[in-house]
Amino acid sequence: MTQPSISEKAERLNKRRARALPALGVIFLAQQASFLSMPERSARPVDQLKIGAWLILSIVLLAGLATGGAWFRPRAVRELLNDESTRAHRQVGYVYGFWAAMGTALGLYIVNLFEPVSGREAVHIIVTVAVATALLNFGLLERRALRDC
Amino acid sequence: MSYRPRPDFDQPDAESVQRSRRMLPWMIPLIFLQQGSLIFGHSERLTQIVGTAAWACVSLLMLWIFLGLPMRWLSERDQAIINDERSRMVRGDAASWGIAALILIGCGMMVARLWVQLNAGIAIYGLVNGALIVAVCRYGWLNRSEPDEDE
Repeated sequence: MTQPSISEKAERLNKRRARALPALGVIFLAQQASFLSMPERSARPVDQLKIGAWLILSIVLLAGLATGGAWFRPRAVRELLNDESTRAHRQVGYVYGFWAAMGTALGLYIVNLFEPVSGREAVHIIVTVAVATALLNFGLLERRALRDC
Repeated sequence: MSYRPRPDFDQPDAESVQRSRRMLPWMIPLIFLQQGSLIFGHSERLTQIVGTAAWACVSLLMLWIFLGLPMRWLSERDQAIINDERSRMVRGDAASWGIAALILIGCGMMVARLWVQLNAGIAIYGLVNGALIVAVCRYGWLNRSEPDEDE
């Protein structure tokens, strides 16, 4: 059986990424439900571990979005995965993510005037909304582009 | 002598919007410092509300100017200049720096809350301003005016 060429590999990975990113965004959002039940001044190590894991996951997801993923693939495949339209979709994703974060923050600030929100909850909600919106937007734009091909 | 039609004489054009976008970033830290003192430096409720409203307006205005909703009052030509491929690239790059700053500041706050009480108002103010300042300064840096050929 012949080995798939670099462009075939890149195309396959591109389709997989377009399917995986929106799903990852939804899973990332759904996971946050477990944080809402956590007490604010919890000193349990498991709660600190949960917060640490959330921060690391946020950074990894953002790094995946910034680099296009496929970190363990050859350079040529990564370059094909990072073509002009992908870069344009990523920029749009970032802009939407940033807008969403700023809108959420201003909304939370107003909510906080009437219903106290803890500092941890505020940081958590704003960062989660930024990462999830950027991911979902990028993934959906990539899916739409693949469908139109 | 002006070459622009008289009815449009007072309206901003693409060049003036781009010039303001280049000038504004350097004033923003000062605006936030001043507003922060108004919101957190006074105990009267009314002053805090006025300060918060002003902060929200300035933040939204900056988002609008730099990361953009379309400016419908400009001509189609000016809108096209403002929203060309390079501008979109610069905007996306600035937003990516803003999101990265947001996450880094968020990480810092999550670590700091192990030792100090984290107030939601100050956390939100710090996150929004930190991310906005980084994004707008990045925008200003990428969008700085090109030197003339004879310079």
